[in-house]
Amino acid sequence: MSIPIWFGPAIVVLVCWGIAGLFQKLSTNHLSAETALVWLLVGFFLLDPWLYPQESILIYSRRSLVYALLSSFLNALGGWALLAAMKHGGKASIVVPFTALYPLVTVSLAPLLLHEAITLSQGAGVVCALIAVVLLST
Amino acid sequence: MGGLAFFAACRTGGNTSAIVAATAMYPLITVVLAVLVLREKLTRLHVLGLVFAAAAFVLFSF
Repeated sequence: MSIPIWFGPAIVVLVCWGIAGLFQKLSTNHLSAETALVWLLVGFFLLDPWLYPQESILIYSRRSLVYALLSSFLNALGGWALLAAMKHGGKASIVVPFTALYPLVTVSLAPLLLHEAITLSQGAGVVCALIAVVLLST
Repeated sequence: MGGLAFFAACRTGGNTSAIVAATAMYPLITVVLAVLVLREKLTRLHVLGLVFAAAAFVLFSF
């Protein structure tokens, strides 16, 4: 058994977004979803002085930039919807795990659009991960 | 920070489905924190969910 390279960053994602769910709920106690989204974006920029890319951020293919912009737009839209769900009484312990089912969409699209093959163990891992998310949201 | 780490994971060339499914298990952290910080009790289904999450991590390692 060898740990894949992507596992390290993936653990950082788990921890950061797991904790972020609590703060998102707390922020919507006094802010509208729209206002919370603005401050969420400010948080992105606060990180930039430390993590600003060393290469130019504009010298890329137009297609890559379009993909990056689409990614950020959908992220922001999903972020607003998540905050709106919490603002309208959704419990963090329910809304966060439920919205974490988004891999169902990605797993369905990735083989079609990215033509990525998935190994048997990875497929089993995806199934286990989705079952885990469902059980954790009960 | 989580978003950056997600992009970093994608840049390693790993399988997108595996990376997205693995990172989407972040409610695991929320549940653990709810137990430790908020003193909430785990149900049997939560424990079963933790077992499946652990199994997923092992399977992604192959």
